Amino acid sequence: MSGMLELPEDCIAAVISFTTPRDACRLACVSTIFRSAADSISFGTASCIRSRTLDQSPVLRRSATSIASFWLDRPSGKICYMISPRELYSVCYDCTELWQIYPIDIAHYHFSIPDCRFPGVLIRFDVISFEVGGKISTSLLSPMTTYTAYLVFAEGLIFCRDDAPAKVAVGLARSTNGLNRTIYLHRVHLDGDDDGFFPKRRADGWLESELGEFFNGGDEEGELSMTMKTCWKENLLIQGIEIRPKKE
Amino acid sequence: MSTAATADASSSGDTTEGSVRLLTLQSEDGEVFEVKETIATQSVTIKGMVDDDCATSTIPVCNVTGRTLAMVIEWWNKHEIGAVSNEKELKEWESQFDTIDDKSDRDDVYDLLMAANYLNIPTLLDCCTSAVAEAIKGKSTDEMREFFDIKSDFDEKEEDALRKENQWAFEN
Repeated sequence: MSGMLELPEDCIAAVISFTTPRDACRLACVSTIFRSAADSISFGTASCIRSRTLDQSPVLRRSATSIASFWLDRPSGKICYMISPRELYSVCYDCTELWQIYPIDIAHYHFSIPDCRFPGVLIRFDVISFEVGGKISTSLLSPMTTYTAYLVFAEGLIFCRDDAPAKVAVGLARSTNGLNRTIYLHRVHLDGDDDGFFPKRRADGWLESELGEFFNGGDEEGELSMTMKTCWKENLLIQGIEIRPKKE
Repeated sequence: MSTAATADASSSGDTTEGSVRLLTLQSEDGEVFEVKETIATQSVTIKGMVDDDCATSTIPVCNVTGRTLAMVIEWWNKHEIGAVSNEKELKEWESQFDTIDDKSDRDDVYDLLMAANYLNIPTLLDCCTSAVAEAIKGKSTDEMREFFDIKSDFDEKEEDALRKENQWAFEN
């Protein structure tokens, strides 16, 4: 007879994903293995909660475990996501592929970055213009919620021209009413400027820049697209794009 | 259980019944089962083996006892396309997994979860995980520990901090 403790963390996470946010928080207090299962429920199990009818492509589910991670915002219980470097797309206008995914231990060694949610980070080495972005299905997000998307990156760009801002946009893919803004990656947010133009320091030691907001009504299914276009940056280390409910 | 009946098949491991290929599965405790390939491939793990041509001899199913494997095969049989005439009947049959307040039922579900995870059977995994989730609905943390037969391994400080962090979940 096997007990719950002998089950792999994946299974416990799957159980938690079927509960309510309130139950999930109480479960997290049961023991250390429950807490770590609750803290990092994989993308695959997240899609299970959404559709109790099992998807027909479990292989995708499997390989999806490293693609994005999802957790619940406390206390609202709304779903938050971080899209991993592997799921981000990147475009280089100079036609040379200079993005690289670095395994996390090598990145730690070379760039002394803080701990990271995923096994890899995305690095851009050159200084020419480029675009990076990610997509997520709105059906995976909590309905009737305003979300804010953030680009999460490491401090310490070697070369970064002040006069080269970044253009960011968040909106439904293939729709024209996405929000376009201009932000600056070059200096960290100081007290006083609260407009989201400058990156802020996160509790985990990374920086985050606001890409924009999106209201998910829940009635319309689509793909939320988040992008950043900029130029003249070197050694830009990206952990991922995080989507979480806007703080009221 | 079915050891004797299938001893013959396990030697070749790859027999056919009519035009349907049979696979031989062996549980951790040595019980041997013959299962139609079309049914066993509901397991993504086994499907992968069949696709890679690795299912020609007996397939060992580690970590799964004969008793549990028999339940898994029953699950497969019920979920084979065309096996059950309507959805309602299937749901009724599945509902036997829903009540797991009893300790022995609970152990069965844990064993099935383990097997479903190892064999990667999405339908069974979903059914078992949602049954467990249903059973702990609204329980307090202490009741959950009792349900899972788990002792807290947090120290006092940690637990206080956790409770504070999750305060809202403890308010009724």
